[in-house]
Amino acid sequence: MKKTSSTIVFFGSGPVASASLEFLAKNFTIEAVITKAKPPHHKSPAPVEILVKKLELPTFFANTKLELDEVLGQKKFSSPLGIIVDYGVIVSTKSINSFAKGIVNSHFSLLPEWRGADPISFSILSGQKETGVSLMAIVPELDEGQLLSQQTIPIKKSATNPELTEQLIDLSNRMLLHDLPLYLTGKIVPYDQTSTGISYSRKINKSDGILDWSKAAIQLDREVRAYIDWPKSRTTILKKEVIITKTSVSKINLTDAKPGELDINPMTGNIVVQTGSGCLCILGIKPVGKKEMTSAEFIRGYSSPA
Amino acid sequence: MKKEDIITLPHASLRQRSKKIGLITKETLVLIDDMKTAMLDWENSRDHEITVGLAASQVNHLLRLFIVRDQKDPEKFIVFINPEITKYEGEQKTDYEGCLSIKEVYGLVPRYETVRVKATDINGKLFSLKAKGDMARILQHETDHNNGVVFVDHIKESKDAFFKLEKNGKLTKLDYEKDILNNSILW
Repeated sequence: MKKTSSTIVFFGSGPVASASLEFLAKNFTIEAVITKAKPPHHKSPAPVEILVKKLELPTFFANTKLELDEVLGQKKFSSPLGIIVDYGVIVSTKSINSFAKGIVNSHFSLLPEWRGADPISFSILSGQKETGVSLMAIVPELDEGQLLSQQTIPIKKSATNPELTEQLIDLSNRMLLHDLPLYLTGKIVPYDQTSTGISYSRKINKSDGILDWSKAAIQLDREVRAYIDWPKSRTTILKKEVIITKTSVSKINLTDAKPGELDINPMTGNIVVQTGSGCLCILGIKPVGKKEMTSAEFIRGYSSPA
Repeated sequence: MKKEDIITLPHASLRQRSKKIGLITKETLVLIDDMKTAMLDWENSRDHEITVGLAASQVNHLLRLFIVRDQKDPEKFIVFINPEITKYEGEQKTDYEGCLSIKEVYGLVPRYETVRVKATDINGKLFSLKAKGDMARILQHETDHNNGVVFVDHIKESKDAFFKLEKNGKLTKLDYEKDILNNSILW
């Protein structure tokens, strides 16, 4: 007897999960999708929920470890493998063992670097030059499972969180397509993560988005790029609440200026802010309730009486 | 043996009953080894399929013998000589299965959830085991081969049970009237 090597059960809930599932469904037979139920205060259904309706995939909901144990205990899926991407629920040993080949997670860092909830933001915040994707056979301990494969991509100097996320999704999809069949047929033998270079990421909070001008300009520029989708980099300029959307770093300090003090670049008309080290040139700015604009436009609009 | 040694429908041997093995000889052991090689060779040529079991009749030896992959360790094979299903348990469950001897067609085949099987191992020792789920399905499929039955025979009348494996590894439904009913290869 032969089988298609590709029936899998997919676990995921967020936007990255949705992008991965859309690709996987084109290339593998999905036996079922397990996702989180929409919280009552959300108006629209989660991206995965919309996608499974479109693709007509059998779907089950589990919001906690216990609910997941229950779903897997009742359904007894025949797939040898689960794939988990952007799910946000801890999985028990019992659930992992309900699949002959366990559950594989695509984690968006070069493990053991940036284990935890938000590896992409932290790889931008740290200013590192490269990151990548790790396929891992999960264990109940946080991101400590054995690796199936790892691939690296460079982080561009100007990379924003959504740009880097898109590149990583693309890489992850290519790796899943190539490596899952090899893993299922025993041609990939998982190996331990290195015991050095371990670091942890955490969930980003809303308060992380408040710009602290005593930090170095280079760090603030990374924050703007890392937080561009959420929580967004916020500050008050000329007594107006604004979101900073694009910046560049100047190593030159303003004369006699304290962190947070402004000047205008005479060449471009854009705002330059003194930071703890160097200056941050504000290129894109979005005043609350207004459209995004250059900081030169912001200055003109603010200073004009209209 | 190579993948080319695996016979496919409409080869007549696939619908013949195999004979019991009286004595496990050196030739039997060579055949078992050859079957493993043929299975792995076949699998290496496929991007989206894995082999889980092979019966001797599929390499044109009409002997009651099959090998099955260990589900926990795909490098290992379990050998069943003169196997017999002694008990069927549970309900029938429908799932996809394919056959190395049937090109491209997959089917949704009802099988018992649990079976008990009695067989002889390569040392001539009798053993029995209880298998559930996937393993139970595989054992029923391979036992069928010993009796000259292939999986499509179970679903001959089922209009919605036939699928084709696409190049990208996905299964798409076949048109029963057009592709299956009067298919001279299958029947």
